[in-house]
Amino acid sequence: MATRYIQAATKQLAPAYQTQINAAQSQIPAIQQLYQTLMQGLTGYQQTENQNILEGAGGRGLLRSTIPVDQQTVLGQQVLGKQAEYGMQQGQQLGDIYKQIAGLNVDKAKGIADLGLNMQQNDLQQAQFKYTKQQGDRMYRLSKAAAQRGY
Amino acid sequence: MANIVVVGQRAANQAYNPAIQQAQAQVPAINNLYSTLLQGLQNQSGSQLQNVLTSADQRGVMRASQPASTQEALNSSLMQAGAQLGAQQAQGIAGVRSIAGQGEAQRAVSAQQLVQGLTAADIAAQENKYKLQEITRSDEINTIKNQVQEAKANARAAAAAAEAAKGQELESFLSNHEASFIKLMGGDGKVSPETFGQAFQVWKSKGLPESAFLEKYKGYINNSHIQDYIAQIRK
Repeated sequence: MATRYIQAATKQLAPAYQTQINAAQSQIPAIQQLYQTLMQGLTGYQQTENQNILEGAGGRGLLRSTIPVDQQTVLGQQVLGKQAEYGMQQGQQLGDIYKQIAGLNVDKAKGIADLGLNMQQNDLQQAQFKYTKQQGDRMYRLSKAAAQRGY
Repeated sequence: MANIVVVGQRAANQAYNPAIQQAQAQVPAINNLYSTLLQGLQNQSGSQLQNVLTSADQRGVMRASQPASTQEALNSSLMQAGAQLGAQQAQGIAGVRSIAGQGEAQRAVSAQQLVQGLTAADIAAQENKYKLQEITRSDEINTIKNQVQEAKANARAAAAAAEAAKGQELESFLSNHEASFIKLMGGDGKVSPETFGQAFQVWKSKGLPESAFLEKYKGYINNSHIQDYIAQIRK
């Protein structure tokens, strides 16, 4: 397909698809910020809870015991599990957005190709009629001249 | 063609612009909503924190870590809630902007489809008009042919009539011509060389052959001075 039809179709369609792509992309920083905050919150929570465990043990006179350590270990595992869960959710959400963007790019390419073909067919129809008319006009002039000469 | 493009674009704009603008108009409202929610959250967090500190003071809690831990927990909770709201806000805005973008894409496609339809209709109208013109032209050429044929026939008829008239005229001329010779001949039954020459010129003016004149009127020549007659017809 001639480049000019692709260029014309791109000019018409690309901005509309870019709006949608930009809209999808605009969510990424907010999602990243959300999970970063959640991760930070987990870290703070872990620190606070560890402190509470130690203070609680100290308050009950447990100076050196495996109980606070076991509790801290369990807490740590819980936090790790939550971090993994957050990581998976973030990955999934970002993945969905990237997939959406990829789909939009595919739709954009197809839309531009279809639109360009449509424009080309339009021009072709007009060119065909113009040619038919030119040929018809030429035959008319020849026939008329021949008729006037008696042929 | 340019007019068709304008018409198509205008129609598509009328169809899709209201929905696109409506979608875009939601963005400020969404921003306002989440700004209000975040402000409320911050106010609530501030009140909760104040309550914690006041409660700690009232209970005589001197250990510094507890209010501080509580403050950290409240702040962390606020940040998380704020981040959650931020993500929701971004999602909401992205949603309406995506709807607007979809509308813009559909508008562009619809405009081109309208242009294609209008162009096809325009071309069909032009083709019909041209077909009518071709019928008219065909009639015109047939008329010309008939006129030329008729003119040829008339010319042939006129030529034939002219030929017939010429023949009649010639027959009349010949009859009168000989009668004149008879009137102009002398007692010897001959005409003078001058009369012979004049009669020959009249004969020639009718397009008749010279040999036929000599053959027909040689009897009117005085052979004793034939050269005089020849000189007259040679003038």
